[in-house]
Amino acid sequence: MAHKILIVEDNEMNRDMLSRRLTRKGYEVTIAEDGAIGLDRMRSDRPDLVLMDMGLPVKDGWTATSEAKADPELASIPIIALTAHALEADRIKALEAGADDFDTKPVNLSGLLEKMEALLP
Amino acid sequence: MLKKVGYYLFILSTTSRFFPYLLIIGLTSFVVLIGMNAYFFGLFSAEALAAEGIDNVFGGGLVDSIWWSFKHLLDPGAFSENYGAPVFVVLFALFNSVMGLIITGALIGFIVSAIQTAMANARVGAATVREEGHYLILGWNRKGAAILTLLAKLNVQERIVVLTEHNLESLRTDLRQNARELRGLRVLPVQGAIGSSSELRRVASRHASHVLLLAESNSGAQSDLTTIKALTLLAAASEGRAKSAQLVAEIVGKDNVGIAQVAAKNSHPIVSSSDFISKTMAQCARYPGYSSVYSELFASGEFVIDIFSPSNLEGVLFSEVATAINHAVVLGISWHQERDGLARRVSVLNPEPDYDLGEGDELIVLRRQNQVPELLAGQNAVAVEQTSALSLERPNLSEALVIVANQNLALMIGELLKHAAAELRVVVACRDAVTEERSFRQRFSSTETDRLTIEFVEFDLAESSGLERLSPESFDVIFVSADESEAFIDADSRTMLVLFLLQELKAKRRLDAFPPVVAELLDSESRDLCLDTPMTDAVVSTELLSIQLAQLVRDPYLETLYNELLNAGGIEIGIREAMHYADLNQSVELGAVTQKALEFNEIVLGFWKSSGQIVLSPDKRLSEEFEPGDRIIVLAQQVYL
Repeated sequence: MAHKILIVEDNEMNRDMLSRRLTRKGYEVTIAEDGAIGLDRMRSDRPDLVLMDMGLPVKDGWTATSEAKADPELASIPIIALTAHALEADRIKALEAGADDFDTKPVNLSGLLEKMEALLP
Repeated sequence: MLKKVGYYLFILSTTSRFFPYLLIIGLTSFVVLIGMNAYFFGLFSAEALAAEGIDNVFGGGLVDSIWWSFKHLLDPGAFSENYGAPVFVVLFALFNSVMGLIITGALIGFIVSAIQTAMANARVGAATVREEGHYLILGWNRKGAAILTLLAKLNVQERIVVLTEHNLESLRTDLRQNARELRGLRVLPVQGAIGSSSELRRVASRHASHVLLLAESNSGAQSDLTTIKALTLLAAASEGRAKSAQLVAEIVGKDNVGIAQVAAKNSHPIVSSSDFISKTMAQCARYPGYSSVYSELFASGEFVIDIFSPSNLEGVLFSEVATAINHAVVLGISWHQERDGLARRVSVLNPEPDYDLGEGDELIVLRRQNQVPELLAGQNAVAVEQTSALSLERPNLSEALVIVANQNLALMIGELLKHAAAELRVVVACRDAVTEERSFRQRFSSTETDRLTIEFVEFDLAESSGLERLSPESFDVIFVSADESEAFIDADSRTMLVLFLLQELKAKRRLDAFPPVVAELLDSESRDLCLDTPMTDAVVSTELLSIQLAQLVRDPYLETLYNELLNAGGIEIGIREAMHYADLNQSVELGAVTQKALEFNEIVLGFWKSSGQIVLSPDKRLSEEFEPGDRIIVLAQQVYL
């Protein structure tokens, strides 16, 4: 059965692109436009993995990640943090928020797939 | 009694278009009947029949008397033919002739008046439009003429109907001033309220193929209300129709975009002018010269963004098609997708070079109007599977000076904040610091206020030393906003004065280096007058936004592309030193530059020589020698380092 991936990303193009590429690789993809919707989707859709952009409106990715990890029901869902701010500080900040791994945009698909496969059940 | 008759005549004459003509017919009949009474005064006596003008073809009965009376009414010259007739007959003939003159005069008067009314109606645009498949522009502002100019460049053959509440004379003046650029365009100005359903019916909005809704004024809320009402009416009118017009609407206030989208049932592009100006100014601050590239790309009318679908794309990498297609720049990919029951075209700019094209993928290309993309021979296709970020100092702003505040200040600072990797300090120099600060606090909605330090200082244009005290040279960027607060002072004149003061300051202090100056202008002609000032970018909002509106009404799928190019955090137009892509002072094939850029996950749009020449979508087989100061124009993912 295909793994369910939730993409939390506010940028429409990034969302469309990543969603198309992952769908072609056989994943079942759902999307959310901001951190708050992302948390709702995590609760309702129970994805196998979340790709979380950090610079999100309404509720940013760091907050959404830390809230997800603090919620016993969601804590086990692996989260890969994605950000355009390719700074070491951002990486540390994402991991401190509870992200299981980290990747930068633009995404290198093969590298991202490796990280995803390592975290997927 | 007479008063009552007079009143009824007044009512009839004001309520019925046909009344004057009925009156003429009635009066004519009455006079003819009176004239026929000559019969009882010897009209057909032996004496009368001796006169030339009295006939008794039908035995001098009713018909002959009608004929005689009617002839005198219509032809005054017939009076002379009664010479020799009895006096009473002559008197009747005289009465009919005089009344005939009066009735004919009245008839001519009515006809002339009707023609004049018809012409006046046509002049003020009160006519009913009977068109099918026409372009409809609802509302009129400074952008109108620029939109028409672009439609003329795009060779639009359909009639363009403009409905506006404004006086049509100013619209006609705009058309006359741009007559040369608008040659070939068939424009029909019509006056009326764009928020009225009957007026929309009058301009055949249901039968229009393309509808552009422009803000009737720059006042914001009021104008947006009218636009939103018109959007609602248009959406209601198109319900149940298999095919509705392609529509784009301009909304002044960014906050009203959401409501406008609901009114348009989320199926048409809505462009916020204030949002567009703010974003463009922020991008110009990051990349001095951005407005020139943007203008060349979208305003010159030379280039079009198009969909190109070569066969056998499946399995091919994006980098391979990007390097193998000539006479066009492959900007991205597009496909059709169904979401929430609605089919939509998805467009993605600058995908990763290792994106493998699949079923349904098409290419988004930038090409010259007169060129067709060409697939080069196989060896030109280069597969780039690994990318690395280009190592260079990214344009980050930490200190900005804004001279003159306007309604877009909060949006612009919000946008700058999105682009700023760290702290941002802004100094706003304006006439009334207290009021402007209060207005800013009300409008500013960013949640990242902890990264922003903003200071409002009093600044009077009349006092040139005020500018010196601000030390503009110490900022990363200077913005000069359009000040439209006083209707009797031209906003561009104020902007130009600030630019001249900056020039004077630069010369006085003998400064070689000066921060980029981004000025908002309302008229493109003002830009040419500022060439000797430190201005690096002129954001002529009327020009740039018009282009966007004119293109979106034809190709709505471009909405995401336009948004993406200006938004923070997505894809942007980057202007980089050529040395990152090629060895300087050595001839290099432009295809190799394209390949090098792909390795940085960038797409080459063209190059900008230090001489000022901008070349977009160059032939990839040609070679170029880059010198220090030359720059490459690319599409790239925004990175904030």
